[in-house]
Amino acid sequence: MAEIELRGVSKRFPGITAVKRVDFTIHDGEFFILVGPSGCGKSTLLNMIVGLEDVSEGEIRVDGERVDDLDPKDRNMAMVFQSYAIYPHMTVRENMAFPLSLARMSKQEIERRVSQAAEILQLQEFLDRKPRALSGGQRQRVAMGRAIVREPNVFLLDEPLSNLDAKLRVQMRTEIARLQRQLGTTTVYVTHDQTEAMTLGDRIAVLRAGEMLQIGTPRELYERPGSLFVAGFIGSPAMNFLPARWSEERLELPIGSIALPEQLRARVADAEGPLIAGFRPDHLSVSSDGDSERLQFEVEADVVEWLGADLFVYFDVELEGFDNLALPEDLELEIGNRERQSLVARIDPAAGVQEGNRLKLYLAPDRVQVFEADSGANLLLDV
Amino acid sequence: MSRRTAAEHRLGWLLCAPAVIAMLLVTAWPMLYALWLSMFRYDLRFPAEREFIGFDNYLAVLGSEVWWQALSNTVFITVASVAVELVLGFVFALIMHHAIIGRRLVRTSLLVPYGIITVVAAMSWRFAFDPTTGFINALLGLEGAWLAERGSAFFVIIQTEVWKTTSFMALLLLAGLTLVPDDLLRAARVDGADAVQRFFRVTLPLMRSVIMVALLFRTLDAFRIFDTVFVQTRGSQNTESLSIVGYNALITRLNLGLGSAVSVLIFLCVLALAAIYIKGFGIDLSQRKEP
Amino acid sequence: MAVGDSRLERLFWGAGSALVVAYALIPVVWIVSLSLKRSADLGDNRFLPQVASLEHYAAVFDDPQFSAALWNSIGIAGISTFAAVVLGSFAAYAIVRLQFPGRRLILAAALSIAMFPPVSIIGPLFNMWRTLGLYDTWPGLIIPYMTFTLPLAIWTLSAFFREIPWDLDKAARVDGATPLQAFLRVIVPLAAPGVFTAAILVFMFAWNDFLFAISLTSTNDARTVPAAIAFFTGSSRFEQPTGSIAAASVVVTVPIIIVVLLFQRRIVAGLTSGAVKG
Ligand SMILES: Nc1ncnc2c1ncn2[C@@H]1O[C@H](COP(=O)(O)OP(=O)(O)O)[C@@H](O)[C@H]1O
Ligand SMILES: [Mg+2]
Repeated sequence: MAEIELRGVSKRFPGITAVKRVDFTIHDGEFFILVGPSGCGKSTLLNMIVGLEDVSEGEIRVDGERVDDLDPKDRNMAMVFQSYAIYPHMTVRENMAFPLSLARMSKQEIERRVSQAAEILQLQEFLDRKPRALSGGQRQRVAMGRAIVREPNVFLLDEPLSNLDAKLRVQMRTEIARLQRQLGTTTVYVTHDQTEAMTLGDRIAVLRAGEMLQIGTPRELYERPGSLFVAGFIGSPAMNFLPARWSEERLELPIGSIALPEQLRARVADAEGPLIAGFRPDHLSVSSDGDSERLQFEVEADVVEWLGADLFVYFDVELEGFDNLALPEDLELEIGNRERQSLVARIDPAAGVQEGNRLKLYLAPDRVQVFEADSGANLLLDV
Repeated sequence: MSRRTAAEHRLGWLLCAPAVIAMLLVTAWPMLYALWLSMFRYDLRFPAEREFIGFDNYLAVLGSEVWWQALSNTVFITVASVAVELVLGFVFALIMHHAIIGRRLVRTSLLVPYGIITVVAAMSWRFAFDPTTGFINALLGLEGAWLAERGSAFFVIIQTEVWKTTSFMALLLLAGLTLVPDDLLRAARVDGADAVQRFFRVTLPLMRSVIMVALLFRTLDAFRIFDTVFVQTRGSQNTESLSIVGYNALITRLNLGLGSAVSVLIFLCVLALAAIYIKGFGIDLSQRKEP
Repeated sequence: MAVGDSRLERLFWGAGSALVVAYALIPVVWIVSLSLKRSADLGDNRFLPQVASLEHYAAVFDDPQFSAALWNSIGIAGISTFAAVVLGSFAAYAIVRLQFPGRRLILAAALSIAMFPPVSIIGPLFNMWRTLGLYDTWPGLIIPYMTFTLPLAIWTLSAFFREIPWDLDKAARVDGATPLQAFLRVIVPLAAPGVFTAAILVFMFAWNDFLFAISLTSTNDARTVPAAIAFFTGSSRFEQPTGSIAAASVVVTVPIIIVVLLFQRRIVAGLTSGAVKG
């Protein structure tokens, strides 16, 4: 079992700093997720943990022992690659036995562990096949099998599901979660898919351009995002954003104005530059639920998506008189232009809304997050 | 630089060193030596007369009929054979691309000319065109000795070159053809392009870089032509190529001084040709090969 | 496969295929046929022999000049191939796998040597080899062959090595292998086909060379088959050597044809690997 500690870890490649002074600790037995847009340095960070890349600066400790000068073979970590990296010239059995035979394990022990892993992953009937005769999902399981046979201290998975189709991805996701719980091995899982991050992780670290933005449980990241980027990146559909301004002790939005709790007012009033307000689609509702504090506004349903248990209503809000909304480009949220901003509400399907209908929506003021547009900082978060 | 980076640089150089040293010792060094020798009067049959004469050898070569004749012969053979090879190579490539049943057979057959020794190919064609042993005159109802006349000798030489090397061209072009996505051709077809338009307006532009690389290699190769001419005419009937002139001066007449001047001039010609292709047609060979 | 061929078109392409096969094979059939004709029939102007006879083969194998040349060709081409592929593999591995300044330069150097006219250096080599005692010896040919095939070896091997999923190397390291173990147990088995292909192409080059062979040798000590064929005198002075030349040609062509038949896929991949990618 293992606790992994990163202190001030940086990685510089010629012309780019891929990871910038990152600090965090992964607890023993934890399922830890590294998430962020592609190119943000997730793989690089993972490669440094496993020893495939040198650290340029800082140190990595496992259970208090420095490992950053150790060869990968001396770190007793197992890794699953995005490409699976299954040895094409070996059968499934030989693939799984490979790390064990390198560790000079006895024949019986290898046989025992391989068949045990094969059973867990339902690979028994494929043991003597070559990888090229396997489907994508089966290859993925072989890669997992090769990792678990070693009974390593740490599992590292680099986007292990991104080459699978949507249905298989969901299935393997639950399988990985179950396996990790069963084995209790410290696991670091890299993904650019926030859904995977939210569903799998005990804790999630959000990386952006080599910098660690926030670490927390899925719930913390969802409810208390520390920055505009995290707020926009976590959650699907993404958080709704509107330009906002502080005026007459109230926060004015294109859909109306709200009061803020006493202790937060000063912070918003002192903020520099334009403000951005954000609220999640599920925090909009079609009734006030008897709460008179709620902001009430009327919209026209532009597109309606009915997904059985959920109903998504897309609508536009006029931005008249407000600044342009400048969201970070790497969020890749295309939701509006100069005049209008497109928002979405997740409401009760029983409301029976149709495209073109006008409807009243309610928003609880305490659900609104306020960000400084320039720095991206969440002003309502107690620091 | 970290410890591992420095070690990686060292290992990289170490692994490349033997190959690089061998290449330098056997090409760059002799080339410089040739440059040096070309400044001397130096005939191995009269070694005592060795003497530094500056650029006189070059003046002698450039002032001689033989050099200019050989240069124009070489250019003619190169242009004619490469042009024919390109067209024929395209035809062969298209045939292989379209042939469903015989594709493998065609490809295998084409590898035979590629693999066969040039001297053997030249011999086979020489015998085939020979008036006493050959079957071609009988086939065409002709009488003449092909290799005894300049024009027909060129024909035989060029046709041998074409036979030997079209397969290389065709295989490269076929590989290029398979890079053109079928969907693109379907789209062009839907857009109303007929087969000819599809070839010239979609296929050909997409294959530009493959064609240029194939042309570059084949042109430089054809320019060095030696074996075929040596076997078929030995340069008689005024069919000498540059390589034959160089060989005769250096090895037959053992005139190292004059011969080296020829060598250097041939090298400069090849350099110029390569420069024209790489600069003029914008072939970026280093780019395409980089990982 | 090409888009939407009609039946007529398919017939057209089929007929084309037949013509291509005929064009490619006629000179080969012709030289075989010539080699099988009796001496008396050599001037009959027929494409096929009236009676097949092995007399020229018997003559060729009786000729010590030819046996020596065959042995020289096999030995010299074999050793050159081995040397070029070993050195080429080192360089290609470094170029593909390691970060070090000068990689591009090495590729460019290899490329310029591929375009280098051999006739430009036969004079200096001739002179140097005589001084060094390499003239008319095996090493005298092996050295230039190895050098001139190094570019081919490096380019082909780099193209093949680039195709190897190098994640596997990392995976092996994580699985507990030392760099050497990762190389021997994972990379070598995957690289072997590429190395083999490079070896075939290099061997073909060395087997084919004529200019170095006639410039740097003078006797049976190192003269290779192409040179021997060009200077054949026949079994007796008064006989036209046509039949012997044809028989000798067939003998040296057969191994090439076998290799081509067995490994055509690899050869095509090797020939096109450098030029087509990217
Ligand atoms: N070996 C390398 N050399 C140079 N730059 C690299 C190397 N590996 C990764 N990078 C760069 O580092 C950044 C982070 O890459 P990576 O960790 O692979 O991102 P992610 O896995 O998050 O998509 C990218 O900009 C990438 O181009
Ligand atoms: Mg990655």
